[in-house]
Amino acid sequence: MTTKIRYSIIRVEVGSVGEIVEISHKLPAHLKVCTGFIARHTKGLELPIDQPEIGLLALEFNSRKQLLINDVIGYQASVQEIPDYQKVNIPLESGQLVTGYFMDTEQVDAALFQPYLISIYLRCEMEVNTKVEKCTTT
Amino acid sequence: MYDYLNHIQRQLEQRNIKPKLQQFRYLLIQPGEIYYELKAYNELLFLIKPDQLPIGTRIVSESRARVIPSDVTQIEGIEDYSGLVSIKLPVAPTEQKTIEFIQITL
Repeated sequence: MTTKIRYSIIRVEVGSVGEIVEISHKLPAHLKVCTGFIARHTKGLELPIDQPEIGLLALEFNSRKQLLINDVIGYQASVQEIPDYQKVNIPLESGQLVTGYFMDTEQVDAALFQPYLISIYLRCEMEVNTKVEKCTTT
Repeated sequence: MYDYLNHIQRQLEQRNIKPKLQQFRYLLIQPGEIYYELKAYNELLFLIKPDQLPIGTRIVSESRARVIPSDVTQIEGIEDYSGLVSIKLPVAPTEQKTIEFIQITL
Protein backbone atom coordinates (compact mmCIF):
# COMPACT_ATOMS: atom_id res chain seq x y z
CA MET A 1 0.00 0.00 0.00
CA THR A 2 1.25 3.47 -0.82
CA THR A 3 0.23 6.75 0.70
CA LYS A 4 -0.23 9.97 -1.12
CA ILE A 5 0.16 13.35 0.45
CA ARG A 6 -2.35 16.09 -0.09
CA TYR A 7 -2.02 19.66 1.10
CA SER A 8 -4.93 21.72 2.25
CA ILE A 9 -4.67 25.47 2.76
CA ILE A 10 -6.87 27.46 5.08
CA ARG A 11 -6.60 31.21 4.64
CA VAL A 12 -7.60 33.61 7.36
CA GLU A 13 -8.14 37.30 6.64
CA VAL A 14 -7.67 39.63 9.58
CA GLY A 15 -9.21 43.04 9.01
CA SER A 16 -9.24 44.84 12.34
CA VAL A 17 -7.39 45.11 15.63
CA GLY A 18 -8.14 42.25 17.98
CA GLU A 19 -10.40 40.53 15.46
CA ILE A 20 -11.43 36.96 16.10
CA VAL A 21 -11.81 35.07 12.85
CA GLU A 22 -13.70 31.81 13.05
CA ILE A 23 -12.39 28.93 10.99
CA SER A 24 -14.64 26.30 9.49
CA HIS A 25 -13.05 24.26 6.76
CA LYS A 26 -14.16 20.98 5.31
CA LEU A 27 -11.43 18.53 4.44
CA PRO A 28 -11.91 16.20 1.48
CA ALA A 29 -13.48 12.92 2.51
CA HIS A 30 -10.68 10.74 1.17
CA LEU A 31 -8.06 12.11 3.55
CA LYS A 32 -7.30 9.71 6.36
CA VAL A 33 -4.67 11.36 8.53
CA CYS A 34 -3.07 14.76 9.00
CA THR A 35 0.65 14.53 9.57
CA GLY A 36 1.80 18.13 9.70
CA PHE A 37 0.94 21.78 9.64
CA ILE A 38 2.43 25.20 9.16
CA ALA A 39 0.65 28.38 10.17
CA ARG A 40 2.24 31.66 9.20
CA HIS A 41 1.68 35.21 8.10
CA THR A 42 1.71 35.29 4.31
CA LYS A 43 0.51 38.71 3.22
CA GLY A 44 -0.27 42.21 4.41
CA LEU A 45 1.97 43.20 7.28
CA GLU A 46 5.10 45.22 6.59
CA LEU A 47 6.91 45.64 9.87
CA PRO A 48 10.59 46.54 10.25
CA ILE A 49 11.39 43.80 12.76
CA ASP A 50 10.26 40.30 13.64
CA GLN A 51 7.33 39.93 16.00
CA PRO A 52 7.18 36.79 18.12
CA GLU A 53 3.41 37.00 18.31
CA ILE A 54 0.76 38.59 16.14
CA GLY A 55 -2.03 36.17 16.95
CA LEU A 56 -3.27 32.96 18.49
CA LEU A 57 -4.51 29.98 16.56
CA ALA A 58 -6.69 27.12 17.75
CA LEU A 59 -7.76 24.25 15.54
CA GLU A 60 -10.14 21.42 16.28
CA PHE A 61 -10.49 18.39 14.07
CA ASN A 62 -13.23 15.91 13.24
CA SER A 63 -16.07 18.38 13.75
CA ARG A 64 -15.03 19.61 17.18
CA LYS A 65 -14.28 16.19 18.58
CA GLN A 66 -10.60 16.92 19.16
CA LEU A 67 -8.80 20.13 20.00
CA LEU A 68 -5.35 19.43 18.73
CA ILE A 69 -3.55 22.60 17.77
CA ASN A 70 -2.94 25.71 19.84
CA ASP A 71 -0.22 27.86 18.38
CA VAL A 72 1.22 31.34 18.52
CA ILE A 73 1.69 32.95 15.12
CA GLY A 74 4.59 35.34 14.68
CA TYR A 75 5.83 37.67 11.99
CA GLN A 76 9.14 37.46 10.15
CA ALA A 77 10.37 40.69 8.61
CA SER A 78 12.49 38.87 6.08
CA VAL A 79 11.73 35.27 5.31
CA GLN A 80 14.88 33.32 4.57
CA GLU A 81 13.28 29.94 4.23
CA ILE A 82 9.88 28.39 4.74
CA PRO A 83 9.75 26.59 8.10
CA ASP A 84 9.34 22.85 8.30
CA TYR A 85 5.97 21.34 8.96
CA GLN A 86 5.23 20.78 12.62
CA LYS A 87 4.52 17.11 13.04
CA VAL A 88 1.10 15.96 14.13
CA ASN A 89 -0.71 12.68 13.83
CA ILE A 90 -4.42 13.29 13.58
CA PRO A 91 -6.63 10.49 12.30
CA LEU A 92 -9.45 11.99 10.28
CA GLU A 93 -13.03 10.94 10.10
CA SER A 94 -14.41 11.13 6.61
CA GLY A 95 -15.64 14.53 5.46
CA GLN A 96 -15.52 16.27 8.81
CA LEU A 97 -14.83 19.91 9.62
CA VAL A 98 -11.68 21.58 10.83
CA THR A 99 -12.84 24.40 13.07
CA GLY A 100 -11.28 26.91 15.39
CA TYR A 101 -10.26 30.50 15.48
CA PHE A 102 -7.47 32.95 14.86
CA MET A 103 -7.32 35.94 17.16
CA ASP A 104 -5.23 39.01 16.41
CA THR A 105 -3.10 39.96 19.42
CA GLU A 106 -1.02 42.66 17.82
CA GLN A 107 -0.79 45.57 20.22
CA VAL A 108 -1.18 48.47 17.81
CA ASP A 109 -3.48 51.46 17.54
CA ALA A 110 -6.43 50.98 15.24
CA ALA A 111 -5.09 53.75 12.99
CA LEU A 112 -1.79 51.90 12.50
CA PHE A 113 -3.34 48.51 11.89
CA GLN A 114 -2.64 46.81 8.59
CA PRO A 115 -4.98 44.05 7.41
CA TYR A 116 -3.15 40.80 6.84
CA LEU A 117 -3.50 37.20 5.81
CA ILE A 118 -2.60 34.06 7.73
CA SER A 119 -2.27 30.77 5.89
CA ILE A 120 -2.56 27.39 7.54
CA TYR A 121 -1.09 24.55 5.51
CA LEU A 122 -2.29 21.11 6.50
CA ARG A 123 -0.35 18.11 5.24
CA CYS A 124 -2.65 15.13 5.09
CA GLU A 125 -2.37 11.67 3.67
CA MET A 126 -4.82 9.53 1.79
CA GLU A 127 -4.73 5.81 1.54
CA VAL A 128 -4.67 4.62 -1.99
CA ASN A 129 -6.66 1.56 -2.76
CA THR A 130 -4.15 -0.65 -4.53
CA LYS A 131 -6.74 -3.12 -5.71
CA VAL A 132 -6.94 -2.98 -9.44
CA GLU A 133 -10.47 -3.49 -10.56
CA LYS A 134 -11.13 -5.35 -13.74
CA CYS A 135 -12.00 -3.24 -16.68
CA THR A 136 -15.58 -3.84 -17.67
CA THR A 137 -15.46 -2.22 -21.05
CA THR A 138 -15.23 -4.43 -24.09
CA MET B 1 -39.18 23.09 22.95
CA TYR B 2 -35.58 23.46 21.83
CA ASP B 3 -33.86 24.84 24.89
CA TYR B 4 -30.23 25.13 25.88
CA LEU B 5 -30.16 21.82 27.76
CA ASN B 6 -31.39 20.09 24.66
CA HIS B 7 -28.79 21.88 22.56
CA ILE B 8 -25.95 20.94 24.91
CA GLN B 9 -27.10 17.34 25.04
CA ARG B 10 -27.04 17.12 21.27
CA GLN B 11 -23.64 18.75 21.07
CA LEU B 12 -22.21 16.20 23.47
CA GLU B 13 -23.74 13.32 21.57
CA GLN B 14 -22.47 14.60 18.23
CA ARG B 15 -18.98 14.96 19.61
CA ASN B 16 -19.02 11.55 21.35
CA ILE B 17 -18.54 13.12 24.76
CA LYS B 18 -19.76 11.19 27.75
CA PRO B 19 -19.67 13.62 30.67
CA LYS B 20 -18.65 12.46 34.12
CA LEU B 21 -20.48 15.36 35.66
CA GLN B 22 -22.82 18.05 34.48
CA GLN B 23 -23.67 20.93 36.78
CA PHE B 24 -24.19 24.67 36.94
CA ARG B 25 -21.24 26.93 37.53
CA TYR B 26 -21.54 30.61 38.31
CA LEU B 27 -19.27 33.59 37.84
CA LEU B 28 -19.98 36.61 39.98
CA ILE B 29 -19.30 39.85 38.13
CA GLN B 30 -18.31 42.57 40.60
CA PRO B 31 -18.81 46.31 40.15
CA GLY B 32 -15.70 47.98 38.75
CA GLU B 33 -13.94 44.77 37.65
CA ILE B 34 -13.58 44.00 33.98
CA TYR B 35 -11.31 40.95 33.78
CA TYR B 36 -12.00 37.41 34.95
CA GLU B 37 -10.34 34.05 34.48
CA LEU B 38 -11.89 30.64 34.88
CA LYS B 39 -10.00 27.38 34.85
CA ALA B 40 -11.76 24.77 32.77
CA TYR B 41 -9.11 22.18 32.12
CA ASN B 42 -10.58 18.83 31.08
CA GLU B 43 -13.93 20.50 31.12
CA LEU B 44 -16.33 22.26 28.84
CA LEU B 45 -17.99 25.41 30.06
CA PHE B 46 -21.15 26.21 28.16
CA LEU B 47 -22.12 29.85 28.47
CA ILE B 48 -25.88 29.48 28.56
CA LYS B 49 -27.14 33.03 28.82
CA PRO B 50 -24.77 35.15 26.75
CA ASP B 51 -27.21 38.05 26.74
CA GLN B 52 -26.37 38.54 30.44
CA LEU B 53 -22.97 39.82 29.35
CA PRO B 54 -22.52 43.31 27.93
CA ILE B 55 -22.14 43.68 24.17
CA GLY B 56 -18.48 43.63 23.26
CA THR B 57 -17.42 41.23 26.02
CA ARG B 58 -14.45 39.21 24.81
CA ILE B 59 -14.25 35.56 25.84
CA VAL B 60 -11.09 33.68 24.94
CA SER B 61 -10.28 30.05 25.65
CA GLU B 62 -8.10 27.35 24.18
CA SER B 63 -10.88 25.99 22.03
CA ARG B 64 -13.01 28.99 21.21
CA ALA B 65 -12.98 32.75 21.28
CA ARG B 66 -15.67 35.26 20.59
CA VAL B 67 -16.92 38.75 21.17
CA ILE B 68 -20.51 39.02 22.32
CA PRO B 69 -22.34 40.68 19.43
CA SER B 70 -25.19 43.15 19.70
CA ASP B 71 -27.74 40.70 18.34
CA VAL B 72 -26.87 37.76 20.52
CA THR B 73 -29.69 35.41 21.39
CA GLN B 74 -29.73 32.74 24.03
CA ILE B 75 -29.65 29.71 21.75
CA GLU B 76 -27.39 31.14 19.08
CA GLY B 77 -25.00 32.39 21.72
CA ILE B 78 -24.47 29.09 23.50
CA GLU B 79 -20.83 28.24 23.11
CA ASP B 80 -18.47 26.03 25.01
CA TYR B 81 -15.07 27.06 26.27
CA SER B 82 -12.26 25.00 27.72
CA GLY B 83 -8.79 25.37 29.18
CA LEU B 84 -8.05 28.77 30.63
CA VAL B 85 -11.08 30.94 29.93
CA SER B 86 -10.59 34.68 30.08
CA ILE B 87 -13.49 37.11 30.09
CA LYS B 88 -12.93 40.79 29.47
CA LEU B 89 -15.82 43.20 29.75
CA PRO B 90 -15.81 46.32 27.55
CA VAL B 91 -16.70 48.62 30.45
CA ALA B 92 -16.66 48.24 34.18
CA PRO B 93 -20.08 47.14 35.43
CA THR B 94 -21.86 49.27 37.98
CA GLU B 95 -23.73 46.48 39.67
CA GLN B 96 -23.17 42.89 40.67
CA LYS B 97 -24.25 40.25 38.20
CA THR B 98 -24.15 36.46 37.99
CA ILE B 99 -23.12 34.72 34.79
CA GLU B 100 -24.30 31.16 34.38
CA PHE B 101 -22.44 28.29 32.78
CA ILE B 102 -23.07 24.61 32.51
CA GLN B 103 -19.94 22.78 33.45
CA ILE B 104 -19.25 19.46 31.77
CA THR B 105 -16.48 17.48 33.40
CA LEU B 106 -14.83 15.06 31.00
